[in-house]
Amino acid sequence: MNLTNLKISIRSLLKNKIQSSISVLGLGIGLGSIMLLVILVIHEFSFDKFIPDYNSAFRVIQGDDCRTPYLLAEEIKNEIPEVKSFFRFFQANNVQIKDKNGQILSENLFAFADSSVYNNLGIKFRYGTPALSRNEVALSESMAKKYYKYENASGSLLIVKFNDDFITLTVSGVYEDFPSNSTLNPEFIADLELSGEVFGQTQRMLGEYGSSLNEFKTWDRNYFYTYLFLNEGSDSESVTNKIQKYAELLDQERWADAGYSLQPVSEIYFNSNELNGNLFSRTGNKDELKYYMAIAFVILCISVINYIFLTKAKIIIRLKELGAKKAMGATRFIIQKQVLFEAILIASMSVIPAFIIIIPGISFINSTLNKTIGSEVFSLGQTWLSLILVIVLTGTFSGLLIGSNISRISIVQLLTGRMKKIGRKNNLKNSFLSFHFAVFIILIVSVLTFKKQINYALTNFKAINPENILICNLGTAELQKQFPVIKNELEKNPGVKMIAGSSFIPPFNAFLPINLKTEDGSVRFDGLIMGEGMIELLEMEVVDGESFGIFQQGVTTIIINESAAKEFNIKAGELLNGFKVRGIVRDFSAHSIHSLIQPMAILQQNPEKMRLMAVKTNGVNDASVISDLQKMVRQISPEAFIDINYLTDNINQFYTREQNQAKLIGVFSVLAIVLSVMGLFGVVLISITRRTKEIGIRKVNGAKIFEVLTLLNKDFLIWVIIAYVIAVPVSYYTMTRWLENFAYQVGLSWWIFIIAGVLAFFIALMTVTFQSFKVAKSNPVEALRYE
Amino acid sequence: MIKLRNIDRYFDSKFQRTFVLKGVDLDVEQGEFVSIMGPSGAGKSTLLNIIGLLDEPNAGEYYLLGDPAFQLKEKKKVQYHRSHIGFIFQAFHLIDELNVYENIETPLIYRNVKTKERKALVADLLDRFNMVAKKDLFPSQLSGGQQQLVAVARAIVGNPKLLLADEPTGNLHSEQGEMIMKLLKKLNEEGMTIIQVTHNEAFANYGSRIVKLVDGLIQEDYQVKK
Repeated sequence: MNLTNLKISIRSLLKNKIQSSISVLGLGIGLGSIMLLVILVIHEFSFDKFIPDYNSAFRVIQGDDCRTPYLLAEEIKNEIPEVKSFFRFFQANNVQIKDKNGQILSENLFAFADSSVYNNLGIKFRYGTPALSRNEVALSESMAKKYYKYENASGSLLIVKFNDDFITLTVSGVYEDFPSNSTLNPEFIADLELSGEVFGQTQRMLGEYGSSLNEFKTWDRNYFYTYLFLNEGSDSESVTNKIQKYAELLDQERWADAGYSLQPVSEIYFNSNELNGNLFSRTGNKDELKYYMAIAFVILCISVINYIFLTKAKIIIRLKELGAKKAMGATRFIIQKQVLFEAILIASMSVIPAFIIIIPGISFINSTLNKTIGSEVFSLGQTWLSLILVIVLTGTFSGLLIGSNISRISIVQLLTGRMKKIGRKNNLKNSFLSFHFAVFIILIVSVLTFKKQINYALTNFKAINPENILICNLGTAELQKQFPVIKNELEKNPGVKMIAGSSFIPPFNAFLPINLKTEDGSVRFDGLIMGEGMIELLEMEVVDGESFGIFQQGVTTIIINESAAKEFNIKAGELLNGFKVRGIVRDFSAHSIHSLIQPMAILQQNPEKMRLMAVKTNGVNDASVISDLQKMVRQISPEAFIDINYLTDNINQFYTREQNQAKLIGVFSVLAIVLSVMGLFGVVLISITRRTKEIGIRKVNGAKIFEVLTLLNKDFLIWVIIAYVIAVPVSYYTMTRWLENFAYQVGLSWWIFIIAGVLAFFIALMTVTFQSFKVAKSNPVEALRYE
Repeated sequence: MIKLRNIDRYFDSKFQRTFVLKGVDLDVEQGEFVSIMGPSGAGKSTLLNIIGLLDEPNAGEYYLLGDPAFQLKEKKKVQYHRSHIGFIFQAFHLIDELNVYENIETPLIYRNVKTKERKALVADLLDRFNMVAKKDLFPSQLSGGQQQLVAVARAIVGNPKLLLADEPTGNLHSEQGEMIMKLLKKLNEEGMTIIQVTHNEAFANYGSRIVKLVDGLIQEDYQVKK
């Protein structure tokens, strides 16, 4: 029985190759996109579950901060028996490493950890051992390949720069790369002792205002993640209670109310966004996943609907076959079974086009959403299980829907091959087109709104002009000391308009919190540290008082923005918490436009302690400015990592998330367009086959081609108009909600809705006309002969 | 074997009722070969469909093999189709996706006949109809006459008591038509009850009895003179 079904199904698929491939391809697109999202969800929820006994692994949270003092872990291990083991973890960014050819590379994932990290996380060593002294470092496999071209790098030397000096470390071993679903993903792991070198570096960023304290083995320096691994059967709550007492050892002023809590490792990925200092772990966003899931589901719906309607159309041709079967004694159940069987068969065949989507889709998702889905996701049972589930559900659903309809038709009707005409109801059949085009219009409106808002964010700056500004990182002590010299030399280049140094250059993403004490307590400002001339270079407007002059050691004056002046009711020349306010600048954009402009205070930096140098060019001959600058940097500090960027490029990075979202939705809209066109194509085909006779009669009676085309188009375009009516309020609502993410919004424009509508209308018009043109043009005698 | 009493079949449109069959009485005995004749729209096919349980009368009584066969449940009808009635159609209605062998085999599959037995039955028929060489061909590769031959084979493979043929020669030219009619006659002589609908006077005469239908009423009903 099933064998016969299989035979019939496969042979009939092969007979209508074009229609079958539209069915299979269309369903494949839907299946592929839902699977892609399922894979993403599986990946996202698998984070840190590779850790052996991840249920008894926790990260210590101090107050609302992930970082804890160095001494905490050892105290806990010594005094609390439930704790089986622990490791501490710190990771540095922008660590410069010299490769074999003497070239300097910058690495972001340079970690320092207790050697117990490997055992506790289940990371195996390929060669050698963990780093056990401050002269050693262990590498991941991919780094071993990158730096030494061969895997067994143990015993080789690695030259790393901390502070201002290059240090030579010995590679103690090579560990397997951390899994792609690990929140921690260090490429280098050195001994904890070595981390002291890095803390000096962080402090130096602040220049004049940093301290030179490198001592980290205290209770009041929170740098480290502390991971605890409990014995089997231990109660994490009782451990939490037991470790509260260590809070008393903390700096009571800062951590007065802080308690300790334990965060299960499996929650780190999704539930760390509210925590401070979650700098070394990757994080995910559950809400965003929901949106993507919804879009993928809608795409699947579209393709299933397409499939159902195309199949129904195709089955009209096969009614006689079904009739003959029924006359021979096939029950309704047998017919239903065959239709169901065929639907599931097509659904399974669509796995092939689905994989054509899934494979490049994974790398697309990895790059746009900054994920690391690897091929190991295919080795998970869940992936295949959900694939099979999606196929069976899709096939069963559409099969049952089609089958229940068909098996009910009486045999006589089947045999004459004439479906009862149901008059007006027949038209409603095409109403699903409205759904397709509504989805399509909503996606187009979203993409356009995204683009418009991003564009607005990148070009609309208040009281600040970031155009034509080159930023050079002064990465070594010599460069910092020589800043005035570089400035003088480079100013001779005719392309240079102005040069200034700074520690922070707005708009930038991170901000420096400055605490000022007032009578009511302490006020936190967004702070900036700038050099002389920087305010002018950025074309910021001083509305009261004056800008910074020549730097004077020991005299601290500040410049505040208008918001700050208003909040504290202060004029230039007055004192704010003992600091003399030198000037007031107009409110300027300092951060991304997700947030409103806040009260800000600017301090002046010592010209010999600048971290960054800004060069305003005339925009004509930037290449010569850059090459001059590179030459100078190389001369002064031959071992420096040269890092020159445009300020606008840095600003671009604030909105990568939005840009990637736009890209993703753009891809989904293309899929939606393809599917909508496919659906429309199918229905038009059916309708034209059905109406060939009508068209012939009309032509015999003198209808022109244009009139026939109008007639056919009218029936379909009405659904696009209805789709538009549905889509406008929905997209208006969702886009208004999305724009609420920004403090400064561009607003929705009427022309976006017009464009989306016109586009949908045009695509529908083209599809219908393209297909009906042949019929409209054909000789009516041909059309009438068959009846 | 068949007993129709006062059969009405009509269609209601908005304002009027159109009768296709009106007050038809008909008895067919086992072993008869009845030809139903009449002009287009006389209700021949509808009558055949009612006899074959493909259609239901709006009024009247129908007894098949002595059992009341009107207002049967779907399941019961299927039972009759599987074991008692074979059909031949004007347009053959072979399943395009199955080859000759598989087409003939299909009704047996619905009757849950075992594979071995199926093979034997189909092979037997193929042999009898001289179609062994063609068993792997698909309907589209056969001539009309051959297709109808396959359809006949398919109709009788389950050894039904009653064979219903709706213009079996309508799509064939005369030579092929004659071949099919000879075959039907032979089947009848072997004991099968056959009812055919036909336009062709000559082919009607292959039967043992002719029923003439005009506008839904039986006008004539007579035995064919040998």
